[in-house]
Amino acid sequence: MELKEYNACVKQWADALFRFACKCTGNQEDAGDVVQNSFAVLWEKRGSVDPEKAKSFLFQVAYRQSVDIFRRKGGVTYSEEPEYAESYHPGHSDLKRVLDRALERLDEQSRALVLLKDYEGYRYEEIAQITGLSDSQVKVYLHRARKTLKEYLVSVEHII
Amino acid sequence: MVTWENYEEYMLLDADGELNETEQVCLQAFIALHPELQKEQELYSAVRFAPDTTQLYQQKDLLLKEEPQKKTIAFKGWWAYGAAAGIAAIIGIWALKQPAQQPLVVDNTPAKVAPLVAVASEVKEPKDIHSSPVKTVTVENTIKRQPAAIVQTKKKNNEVPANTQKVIQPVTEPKVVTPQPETIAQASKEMEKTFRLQDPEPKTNTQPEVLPVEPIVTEPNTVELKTRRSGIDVLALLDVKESQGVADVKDAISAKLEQAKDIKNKIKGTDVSLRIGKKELFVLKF
Repeated sequence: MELKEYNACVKQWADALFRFACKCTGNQEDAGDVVQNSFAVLWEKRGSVDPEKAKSFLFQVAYRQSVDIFRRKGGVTYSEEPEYAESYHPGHSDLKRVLDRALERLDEQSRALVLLKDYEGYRYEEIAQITGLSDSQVKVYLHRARKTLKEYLVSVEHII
Repeated sequence: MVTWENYEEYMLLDADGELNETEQVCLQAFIALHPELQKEQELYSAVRFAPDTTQLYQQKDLLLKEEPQKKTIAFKGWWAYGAAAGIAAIIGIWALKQPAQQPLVVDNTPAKVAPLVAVASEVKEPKDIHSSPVKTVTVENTIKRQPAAIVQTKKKNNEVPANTQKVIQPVTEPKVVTPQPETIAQASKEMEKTFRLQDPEPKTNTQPEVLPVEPIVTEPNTVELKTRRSGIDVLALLDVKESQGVADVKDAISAKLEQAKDIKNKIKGTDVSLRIGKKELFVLKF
C-alpha cells in the first residue's frame, strides 16, 4: 500500500470506522482513540496490507480494540426502564433512539456483529474473518442478538 | 421449504439479508398463509440499524500522511555566478583563438631524436648499352638510422644543434626490376644517342652501381660498460673485505679462548668463597 492509497483509506473509511467504534465503545473519546490506533497500525503494516482488504483490516483492528476497551471499563450499565419509553411509537423517528438503547444492552461481541452486519453490510464469512469467529458462530450470535433486540422492542411496546 | 419449525430462522436470515430471491418468495408465501406471523416479521425487520451519516470523524486530517517534500536550495546571488561563468567563457574562447606559440625551452640535457630514415632515390641507368641482353637495373639504397643510434643534441636558446654525433647504419637491398621488351628497345635507342653524345667511351662495367655508403661507425656505450665494471670491482672488494673480516673475528675468538685458558690455569687449585659478615654463603673449588 502506497501513501496515496493510505490517504484514500483515511478519507473513505475514517467516518465509518468512527461510527462503528462509537457504538462499540459507547463514547466518542474512546472511539477517536480506536480510529487513530487502527490507522496507525494500518500505516505500520502498509507494506503487507492489500489496499482492497484495507477496510477489513481496519475494522478488524477496531473491533479488537473496542472489545478491549469495553471489557477494561466493565461495560456500560443502563437503567432497566427506558427513559424515553413514552416517546416510542412504531414507525416514529424515535425508533432509532430505542434501537440504540437496545443495542447498548447487548454484549460487546454481539453488538459488534450487529453493527458489522447492518452498518457495513458484511456477509457472515467476512464478519467471521474480522472477528476471528467461525461462520456458524457468527450466524448463531447474530440471530441471538436479533431476538434480544426484538424482545426489547416488544417490551417497550408493551410498556407504552 | 419454510415450516413452523424453521420460519423464525428464515425471518432472521431475511433480516440479515442472507436470503436469496427464491427463499424470500417462500418466506413471503408462508407468511401469507399465516398472517399472524406478519407482526413478528415486521419486528425483525425493524431491528436493523442504519448508520448515522451525519456523524463524522473530525480529526481526519491528523491521520493523513503528507508526501515528503522535495528540498529546494535557494541560489542566492545567481547573477554573480553567471557573470563569473561568462567571463571565464570569454577568456577560454580568447585563449583558444590565440595562435599557437612555440614555447621557449632551455634544455641542456641530451635529447633523444627519433631515428631518421634516409632513402636513396631510385637509379635507372643502362650500364652497358653494348652488352646483351640490355637490362635496366634499379638499385635502391636505403640508409636507415638504427633505433639504437645515439644522437646527442644540445639546444641552447633555440639554436641549431652544433655538435651532433650520428651513427648511421646503412641497409642496402638492391631490387632488380625487369622492364618490358618494347620499352627496353625504345629506351635503349634513346640512351644510346645520349650516351654517345655525352660519353664517347662507353663503360664496359656490367656491375650495378651502388651508391657510396658511409661506413658504420658504432660507438660503444662506454658509460654502461663503466658502470658494469665498477659494479664487478665493488663486488670483488666486498668479497675481500668480507674474507678479511671473518679472519679478524676468527683471530679475536682464538685470542679470547687463549686468555680464558690462562685464567683457568691461574685459578686452578684455588677456592673462591662468598661471605656476608661472618657467614659463608658458598665456596667454589676449582
